[in-house]
Amino acid sequence: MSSFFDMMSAALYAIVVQNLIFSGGYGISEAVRMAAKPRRLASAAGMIVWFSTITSVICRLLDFNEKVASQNSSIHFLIFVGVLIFVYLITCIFTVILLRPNKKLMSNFGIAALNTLVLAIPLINYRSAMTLWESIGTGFGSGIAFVLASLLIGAGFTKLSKEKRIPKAFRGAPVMFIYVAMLSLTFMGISGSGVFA
Amino acid sequence: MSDKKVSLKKMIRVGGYLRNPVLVHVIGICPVAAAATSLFNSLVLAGVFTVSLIICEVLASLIMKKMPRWLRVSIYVIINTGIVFPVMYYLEKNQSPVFASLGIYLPLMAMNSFTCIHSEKYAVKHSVKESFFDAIASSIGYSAVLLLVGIIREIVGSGKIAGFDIPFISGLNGALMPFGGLFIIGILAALHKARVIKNYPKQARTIEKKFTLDESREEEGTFTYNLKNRFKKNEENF
Repeated sequence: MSSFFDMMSAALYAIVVQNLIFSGGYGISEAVRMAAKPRRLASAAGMIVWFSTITSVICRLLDFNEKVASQNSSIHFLIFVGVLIFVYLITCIFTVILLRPNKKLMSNFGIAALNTLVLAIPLINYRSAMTLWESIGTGFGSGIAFVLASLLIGAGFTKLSKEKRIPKAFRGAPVMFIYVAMLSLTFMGISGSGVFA
Repeated sequence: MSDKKVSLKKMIRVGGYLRNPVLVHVIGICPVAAAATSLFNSLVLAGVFTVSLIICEVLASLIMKKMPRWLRVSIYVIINTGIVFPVMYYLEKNQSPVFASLGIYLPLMAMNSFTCIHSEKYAVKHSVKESFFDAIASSIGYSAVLLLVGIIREIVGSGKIAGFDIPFISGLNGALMPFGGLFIIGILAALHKARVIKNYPKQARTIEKKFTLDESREEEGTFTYNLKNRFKKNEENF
């Protein structure tokens, strides 16, 4: 039972307290891109949950091996990238053989698997010495955090794009950056970081 | 487009300045917003980025055109990892303060979406020379923003420049956080847009059209990039 609560609290931490997209900036370009494609958001989030959870679990299991655990950060990075590419390729091969998917689905796999957010999860787990259950929780939570970020960006920017009082130079990308900065500040506030030195 | 029409100067003006990858197309934001907190950090990131983009684009144009897309994407990551790993290993072995300062953002450069998007949308559809020029132009645009953001954040956030203290400036911690980075990018994007509106009014209209969520919902893919028409429009406007 405590393992389940460890997993859930790690997931909640990744979604709310330290939303990885806003407080760490991981996968922020993908979140902005997905905000423009709400129909593909659910499938992208599902894929991110799949890749981040599977990768972080395999990486955590590998760390139980003493030889792997004794390596430095650079070697760990190499192992984590190797695991992520392996998971991505296996998923692609199985999907191609079993489902005969269209090009869009396959391109979504690439966006979902090979982005900064998915690689950040095993690296954070390794640095924070998370348990196996917590690793599953952060992997799962990161997918939900991605959905939350994309929805917040999409909803806010749709309203901002209709606002005529915004100066011409700030319309489009500049106001979007400032809006995302404010969202990021909000989540930093939840995590309790200080803004003034 | 044939090789004869390609001019590096024009590509730098369009790909690096007018359609800056960070300020206009909003790609590869993670390292700029989160890790570019000092001049040295930005230099390391810009160096890694430039080398990986040039190699990826040239190889994509040279030998990867006939591969399936899902396989190409993983090869870009392997190439990026091959460039990031020696840098990371060297910095870690020498216990460089840059390594500690960059944290997990240096390894994350291997997953920079910018390299994949550019190689996929441009390099695989163009000649080696065009791809090489595009990589140079985009790297200049991306690195310029990285360095600018790094310098501003170091001054505002730490009260230093290139590690040296600046008298009378005390650090504002918020500038070193991702929201500070995003805010500075937003201001730079507005300044950039104001200059483009003033000096290149036709291009400014295209840039504004490109960044509309509703438009991209109708025609997916135009939101971040429409490189196919990039040089056609370039010719019309100049």
